Amino acid sequence: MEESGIYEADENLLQRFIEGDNNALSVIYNRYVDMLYAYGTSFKVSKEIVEDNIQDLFCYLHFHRKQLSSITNLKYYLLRAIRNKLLNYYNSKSFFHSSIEKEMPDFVLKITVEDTLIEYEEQQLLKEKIKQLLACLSSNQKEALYLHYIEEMEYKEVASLLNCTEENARKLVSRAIEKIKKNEGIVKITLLLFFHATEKGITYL
Amino acid sequence: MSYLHYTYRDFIGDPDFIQWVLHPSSDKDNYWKQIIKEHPELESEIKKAREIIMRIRIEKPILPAEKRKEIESRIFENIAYKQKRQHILSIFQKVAACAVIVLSIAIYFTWQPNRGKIDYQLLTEVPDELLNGGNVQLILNDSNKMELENKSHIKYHSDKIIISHGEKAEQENESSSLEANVREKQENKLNKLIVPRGKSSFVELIDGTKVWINSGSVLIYPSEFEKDKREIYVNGEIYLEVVHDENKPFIVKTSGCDVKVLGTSFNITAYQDDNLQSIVLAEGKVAVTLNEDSRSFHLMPNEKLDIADNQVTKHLVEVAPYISWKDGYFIFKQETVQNILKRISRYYNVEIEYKEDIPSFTCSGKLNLNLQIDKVIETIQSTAPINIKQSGNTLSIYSK
Repeated sequence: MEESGIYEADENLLQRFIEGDNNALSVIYNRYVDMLYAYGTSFKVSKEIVEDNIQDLFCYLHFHRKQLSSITNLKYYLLRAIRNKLLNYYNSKSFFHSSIEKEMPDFVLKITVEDTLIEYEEQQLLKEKIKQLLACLSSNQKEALYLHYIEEMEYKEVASLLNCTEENARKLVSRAIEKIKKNEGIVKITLLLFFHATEKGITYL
Repeated sequence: MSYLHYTYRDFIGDPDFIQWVLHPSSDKDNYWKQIIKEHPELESEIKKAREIIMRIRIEKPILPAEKRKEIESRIFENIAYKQKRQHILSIFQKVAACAVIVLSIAIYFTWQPNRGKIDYQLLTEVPDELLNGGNVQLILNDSNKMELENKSHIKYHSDKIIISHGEKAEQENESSSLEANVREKQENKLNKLIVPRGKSSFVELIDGTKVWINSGSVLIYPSEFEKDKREIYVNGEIYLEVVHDENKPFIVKTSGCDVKVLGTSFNITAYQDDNLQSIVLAEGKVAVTLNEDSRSFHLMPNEKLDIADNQVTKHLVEVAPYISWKDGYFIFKQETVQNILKRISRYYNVEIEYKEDIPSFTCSGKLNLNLQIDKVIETIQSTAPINIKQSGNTLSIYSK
């Protein structure tokens, strides 16, 4: 994504940005906007709202750069920031019933089946089956799976994003995996959805 | 293990097969190569199964390239815009009077060529001293100006205008000259209401539409509407309850946009000296058309449209905070201190001077506008991390 072709570490980038380099903000934006967009749109909110909140988030970064020096993990910080923004946005609608605890909209795992050798109808059938299986998982379970396997967040980071203990985060993930494993046959490949992200170097036949 | 008669579907569900695809190793590779050797007919099925597995993904939507660029430029435009505003805010007080004069001259020259239609923008330009103090003024035509008390009600009837002042008994204004003016011809039909900062007013138009006018606003409207449309112009903030009339669309013109409605309640904030204009819809449906490039936007109830430097954004909002001023209080919902002070400065007609950079901080709550300003200052100081010193007409802001 970066023009120079040299991948600058997040820490350097952040440091440059804090010191006043606006180009650094642009690099950060281009590096992480897809991640933020994908994560944000996984919640049941419109994509325009996600776009607006991404815009706000980067404006916020610009005007609060002095406060960013405590960030140790930029990726985690950004995920957390967009989540909080959406949380606030979503709850601002129910301002006058504020005694209720703040809640995120539902998290949805969408799947795609790229063109394969199998027939279209069969693809759809497969998709439908996986969808049904994923629908059995709670919103929190799905988000935990997504953060841990797709975004490769540590359990302690997943826990702080979901506002629970690290142990609970582990349980969320392991129980979700158990639930999927219980299923027979073809649906088991659902598991692969999560392991693809971490298993690198898979060789094709 | 016999894989005889296995199809790719069976392979996809086979734990060993999945294990191999997931965690390939030379052992497993050899094992499966052996199988293929023994049953060459399985090779295509195995390939197919692998391929399917490799191509199922959690969908990670990717921003289209143009959208990605668009948002990036929006971010930097927004930053530049906010920087400009911060700068302007700090010097605004000193040059306010001067700037307004320059502005009206500039507008006069640039607007000269496209006369013909009524130039509402020019009409709403009023000398700053009229907006900065004094009484509410109702101008029926060049020779007929009236000074009204704060919070007065103005009601248009077919043959007269009735003006009442708050608690005082309704006082009917039936002088013959006034009645004659109501039925003047085209040019003189437009009425102008000037509501200085620190004041507010209410008008019920000839069609029954109710208009609440907030501080520091100028409203222009005809005493009789045309046959096919109802048009008013505002520079400032108003809240409207429009009477439904399908045959006569109601159009509110502002410096930045036109808002067209059939019958609805909504709030418009469109101060000409403020780059940000916004429309909040309480009920019904409105169409907003930008003056600059004629883009149109539709609003549904609880939606707020912000227009700033030709950038348009739409938000879902709780309506009450935006319209509560008409009932005599402000509701703030995670509003920045700067914005709260700005609204207070308009309402109480005081100037805000930032003596120090104040931390970014948002407040939520309710502010009774019937209180004296010192009570209001007390309330804000107790919630926000700022100190406010009042001297005469100026509030000096310090960080705590």
